[in-house]
Amino acid sequence: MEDAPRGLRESLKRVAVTLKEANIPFALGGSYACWARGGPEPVHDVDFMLREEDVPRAVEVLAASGLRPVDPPEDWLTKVFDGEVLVDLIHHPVGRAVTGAMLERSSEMSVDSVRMPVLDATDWFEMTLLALEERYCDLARVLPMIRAMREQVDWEQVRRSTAASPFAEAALLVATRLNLIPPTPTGITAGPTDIAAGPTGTATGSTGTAGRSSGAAGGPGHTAAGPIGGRRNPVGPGRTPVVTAGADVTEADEYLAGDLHELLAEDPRVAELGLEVSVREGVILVVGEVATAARRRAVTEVLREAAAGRPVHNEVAVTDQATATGGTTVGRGIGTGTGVGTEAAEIIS
Amino acid sequence: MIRIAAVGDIHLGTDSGGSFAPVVHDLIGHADVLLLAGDLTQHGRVAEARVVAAEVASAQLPVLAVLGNHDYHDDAEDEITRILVDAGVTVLEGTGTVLDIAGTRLGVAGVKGFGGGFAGASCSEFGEPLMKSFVRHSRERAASLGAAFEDLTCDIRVALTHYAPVPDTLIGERAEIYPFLGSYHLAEVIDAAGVDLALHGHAHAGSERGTTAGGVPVRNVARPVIGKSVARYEIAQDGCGDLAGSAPPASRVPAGEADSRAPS
Repeated sequence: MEDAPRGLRESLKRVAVTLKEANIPFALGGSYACWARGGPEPVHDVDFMLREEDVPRAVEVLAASGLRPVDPPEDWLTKVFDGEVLVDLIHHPVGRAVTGAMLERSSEMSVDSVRMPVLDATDWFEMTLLALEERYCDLARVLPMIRAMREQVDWEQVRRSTAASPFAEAALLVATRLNLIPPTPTGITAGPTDIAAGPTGTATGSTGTAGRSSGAAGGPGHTAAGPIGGRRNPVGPGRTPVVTAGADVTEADEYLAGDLHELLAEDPRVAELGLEVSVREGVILVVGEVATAARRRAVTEVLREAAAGRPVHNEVAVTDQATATGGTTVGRGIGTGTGVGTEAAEIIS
Repeated sequence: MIRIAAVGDIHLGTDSGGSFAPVVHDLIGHADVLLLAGDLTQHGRVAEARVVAAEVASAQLPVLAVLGNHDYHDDAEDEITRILVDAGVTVLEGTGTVLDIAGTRLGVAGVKGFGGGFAGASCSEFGEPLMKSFVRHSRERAASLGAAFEDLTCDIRVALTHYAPVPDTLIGERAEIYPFLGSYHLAEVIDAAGVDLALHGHAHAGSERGTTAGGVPVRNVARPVIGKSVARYEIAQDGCGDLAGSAPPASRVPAGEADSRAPS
C-alpha cells in the first residue's frame, strides 16, 4: 500500500502527458484534483474529465502508448488500465456533461512536477457534493476536502448549483456552522429594499427603529462608561466607534453578530474579545468565558441595550479565576484552590 | 534549578479584588519567580491596575510582568506601569533584568510585542501609513526584546511577551486572526538570543506548547489555556531538569560566547 500513491502518480502523469501531446482537451478531476489543490492524497484511482466526443480519440492515443482500455457497463465514463492502476476517463460526472467551458475554467497547475489542467475548485465541489447520496454521504470524507480547498471555491455558486440535493445542503450547512465557509448572505440576494423586512419577520420594524435611535444617542454601552470609569472616560470625542455605537438590528444576522462581537470587546463593562456572538432567527446567542459573574451579567446588559427587543441567550461561562479559598466555581471545572504545588512543574530541558 | 510560575491574561477588574492574592501567596516554597504575561487588567484602567497592585503587593517572591493590549486600552499604560512598579513589580518593556536565585543568574527580558503574523503569512511595511506603522510597531517591539537580551549577563534566559512568537501555541484559534495574535519577529530575536524558554499570553483559545524554528520551547500561559491559576516550569542550569540541584553551575552557551556570560 505504501507504494500505491507513487504508482498512481506515475500513471496520472503518463496519461496527462499523452493527452497533452495529442492536443485532447482534458482536466485532472476526482480526488487527485483535490490533492493537487491541497487535499489528502488518494489511494485508489485516477480520474480525468473529458468531453464525451473526445473520449474515443483519448482511448486511442492511450492504447497506442501501451495502456489497456476497458469498456465498462457505466454510460458516464470509460476506463483504461496502466498496469494495475485504473484510470477513469469521465465525460458525464453526476449526470452532467463535461463541457468545453468547464475545461476552460480549469487551471494549469504543477501536479507532481508535470503541468496539467486541474478541474476548477468550484466545479469540483459541485460534482463532489452532488455525488453524495443515501448510501454515500460520509461527511467525514468531505469536510477535510472543504478545509483544504475552501478559499479556492465560489461557495455561493456551489450553493446555487447543488440546491436540489439535500445531501449537498447538509454538507454545506455543517461547513458553514463550523465557520469553514462563509454563510449565505441573507437579504443581499433579495435586493437592498428587502433587507429591512429581512430575516427576523414582522417584529423587526419597531425594534429596528429603537436600535437605531439608541445608536444615534452615542451607543448605550458607551454612554454608561463614564460613571464606571474612574478618572478617564474611554470614549472621548472622536473615539466613539462608529460601527458599534448601537447595533443596527435591521441588517443581516451575520453583520449584527459581528457588530455585537465588537461591542462586547469595546464596552468597558465587558471588554472581552473572545466571546462568540451568533444571531439565528432573531435570537442573539453568546458563548465563551468571562472571569466573573458580574461580567457575565454585563454581557446580557450590553447586548439588550444594543439590540433592543431581541431575545438574548447568554451561554457565557464564568471561570471565576484564582479562587484560592473556597470561592464558588461556576462554569468549567477549574476547581477550588489555587492548584499551586499540587501539580508537578514542567521540566524545561 | 530555577522554578518559574507564570500566567497571562488574568484580566483583573475592579470587581476582582482578593481573587489573585491567594495564588501569589500559595507560590511560597513552589516558585522562585512569578512572571505575568500581560493583560493584567480588563480594560487598561488605572483603578484596575490598583487592584492588580494590591493583589501582588505582598508577594514573597519577585514578580515580573509585561503589559498586554488590554492594559493599553485606556491610554494609561505609563501610569499602570508606575502603579505596578510601586507595588514591587518589575515591569519589562524592551528591557530585561537578572535575578540571582541561589547562585544561578536568571535573565528575563520582556516586551508586549505585537501582531503582524507569521513567516509566509505576515503583514509588511507597505501601503497605507496605518499599515506601515502597524508593522513597524511590531518590528520595533521585537527588536527591543533582542536589544534587552544583549544587555543581560546570565545563566538562564527567559523571554516574556504578551503576543505570541510562534503559531504553534495559537492552535485552537481561528487561523484568520493569527496576524492579530503574534509576530514571527519575536521568534527571530528569541532564537538569536539563545533563549531557554519563551512565555506568552494573549491567545485564550490557543494551546500551551510550541517551539520556535530554532528549537526554543514556547509556552502559552494565557490563563484559559493553562486552565489553572499558574503554570510552573523548572529549568536546570545545564538544561537537563536536574532535580537534585547539586550539579555544579555549567555554562549552556557555546565556548565562543562563554566569556560574556561566564559566572563571575
